[in-house]
Amino acid sequence: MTSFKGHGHELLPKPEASGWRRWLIGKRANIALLAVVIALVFAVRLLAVSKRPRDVQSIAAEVGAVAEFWGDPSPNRAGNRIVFQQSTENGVGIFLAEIQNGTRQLIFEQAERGFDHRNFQVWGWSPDDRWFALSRRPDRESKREIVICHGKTGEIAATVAVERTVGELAWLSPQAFVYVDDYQELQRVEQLSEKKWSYPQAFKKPVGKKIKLTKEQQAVLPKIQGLAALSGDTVVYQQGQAVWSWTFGVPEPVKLWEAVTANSLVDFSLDKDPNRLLLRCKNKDVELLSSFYLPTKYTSQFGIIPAPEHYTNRLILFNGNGYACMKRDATVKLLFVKSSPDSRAVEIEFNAGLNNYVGSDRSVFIYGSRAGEPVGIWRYDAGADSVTCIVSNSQPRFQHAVAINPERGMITNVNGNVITYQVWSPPKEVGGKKYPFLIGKGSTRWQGYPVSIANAGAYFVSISNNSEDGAWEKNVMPLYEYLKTKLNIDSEKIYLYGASGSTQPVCNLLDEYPEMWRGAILFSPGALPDLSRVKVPRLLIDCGGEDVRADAVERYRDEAAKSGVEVTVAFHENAGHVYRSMASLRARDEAVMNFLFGR
Amino acid sequence: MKAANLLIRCSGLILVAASLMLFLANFSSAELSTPKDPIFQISLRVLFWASGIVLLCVGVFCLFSDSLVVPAAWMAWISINFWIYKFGLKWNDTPRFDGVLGTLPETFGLARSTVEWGVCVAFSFILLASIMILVANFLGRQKAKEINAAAAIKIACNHCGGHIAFPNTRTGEQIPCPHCAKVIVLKLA
Repeated sequence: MTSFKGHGHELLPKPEASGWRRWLIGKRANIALLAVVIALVFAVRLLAVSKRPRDVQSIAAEVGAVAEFWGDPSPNRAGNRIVFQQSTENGVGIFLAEIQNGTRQLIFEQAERGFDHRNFQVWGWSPDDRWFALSRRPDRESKREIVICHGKTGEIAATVAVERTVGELAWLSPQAFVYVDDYQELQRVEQLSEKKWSYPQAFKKPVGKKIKLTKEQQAVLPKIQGLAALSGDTVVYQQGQAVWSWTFGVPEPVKLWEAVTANSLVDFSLDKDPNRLLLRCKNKDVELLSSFYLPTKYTSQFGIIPAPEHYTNRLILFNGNGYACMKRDATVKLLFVKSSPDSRAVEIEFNAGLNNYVGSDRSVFIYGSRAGEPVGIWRYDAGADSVTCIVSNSQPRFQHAVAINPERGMITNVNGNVITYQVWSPPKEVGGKKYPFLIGKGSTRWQGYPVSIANAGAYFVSISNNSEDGAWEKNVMPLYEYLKTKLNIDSEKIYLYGASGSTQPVCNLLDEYPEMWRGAILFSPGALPDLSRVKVPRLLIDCGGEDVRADAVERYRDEAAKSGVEVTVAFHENAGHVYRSMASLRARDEAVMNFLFGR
Repeated sequence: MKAANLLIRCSGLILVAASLMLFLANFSSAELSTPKDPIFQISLRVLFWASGIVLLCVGVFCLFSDSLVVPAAWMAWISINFWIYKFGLKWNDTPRFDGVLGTLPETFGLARSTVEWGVCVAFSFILLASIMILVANFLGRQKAKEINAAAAIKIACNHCGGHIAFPNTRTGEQIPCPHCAKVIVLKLA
């Protein structure tokens, strides 16, 4: 045996490095350089991201997830349940809620793509609260239908296929209802068995061939409004300046009353007394309330309501004894309710948004936000003189954002006219720091994006359109001049915004004061700035993919790229002109935040 | 040689950085609808992806290639394409480059003019570098030929007397005579 003693251990030769390892070792300097460049690019990107206010995306996601309410709420006659429309993640849902405890259930949901609000309506309750009716058309290929649901459980009891869009619906009895379609024809439907309802039967028997009208022809037909049941087989309605009644089975309607030329008929309502109708007419100064007695066809005026400035959307309530209207002035946005001629007027403040409201026997139900909280359903009980939130928003409490109650104010311009405005300010303003400033014409509705923008660190100003100067755009400059003395405005970051019809004034302002603006935001634009003249550095166009103007916006986007104008376009695939789903509302908020604060 | 290598590596880094910027711009603006590019009539997003991939490939090749001429040729190709595109925009009544930058400036918090200026400087550098390398390489080859020509030794074949020229580095080699095919030894005359 060979001994290695004393020779020590021989070192094994180093194994040859493999090809790729040798290559890596040879190129290590280049690899290091590559790593440095990649790190540098990401560092610049991180620097850009770090300049954005903190939590921008979280704020947009939180506020954009607030489900908005649509249409009118529909309380039952007993006042213990309410049906309403509210945004869902991908569309709009119809919900039934218990007023006592606020619990709600989804009756059905319709996707936002192809959503047509005319074919998605809540039509109210049967006289015994056993049923409530809805209309829907799940998509453009589907048939329209009226859905009859159980009043207690919300379960769908029956569906009735209808040929045309339902314009209005009135229950004749617990077993029958009448609706008017978009050809202004009255149709009657009755219950045949527990789960079966009849096909619609026209009041006017069809003669000869069916005529198909175009949308334009339909639009000029005198519209039937205020459809209501007078008895189990007779309806009463307004068409033009006259009130008509029509009994099922009788060939023609009967004209009950017609407005004289000095007054125009606004609307009418039924009284508890079945022999009496309440008529609301207006002339240029006042609104007149009259009683019309059916048996004698005698009319007597019983009330005059002044029509002061800033009072809008008046609703006659409580059998003509009272009314509600929206009042917007310098300091408040409120619901003005007068329950009887002798009672004191109640003013209910909805400072952060007053969407829609309806009246019932002794209550008013309101979609609104009183002090900046996410919009909910409120009830004003005239008997108890109390306001309670009956359906709060389902959105969990904000964590990154805070609810912002806008501050209202007024100034007088050089013409002596009053300009009213609302400002959503950043919640934690730091002295000496300047903030971006957005100005335009807002909505009376509660909306998420002013809250998101203010939370992220910018002023959002909404001008009310109630000036005698006419277009609100004339008041933008005087208001800015005034506000810049009061707010910490970054004069390099002044943006304009406008939605739908308000985009034309925005285009005019861009044209008139080109050096003034850092950019403009156009939501679902009705008008687009002239590319050959636009000098504003940045434009954001936020538009629904299903909007009728989507193609025009797409062409404009390409033209802008060709002209070298920076136009950022955010299309929300499923949304129409009005965004309905939480997904689209959230995406809109995110697009606005990215545009204002960097992406 | 060292300068050429440096120019190629720098160009490679610029191209890699540009491609990353295009990718990040696309990622950060996923929710936006990008306009059509006025020349190719394709979405800017698609153009960014496509050109980003090309820039990345050429950039990496420039960084790791041992050759000088091939990367320089790719650099020249890519930068010439850029300038043709830029002049094409002008030809196509698109006076400003801003419109086709998309969200690139916003993504990196830079002014549009800065980005436009930076892009032009980068591609000018790459074009100049590639031209310099290619010209230097061409001139170098010519010179080498001349040197080789000057260094050639001329002898006559021992067998047929035919003239033979060879570089002095091959002195001592045995080769068949190109005229008579008999073996001769290359040696100084």
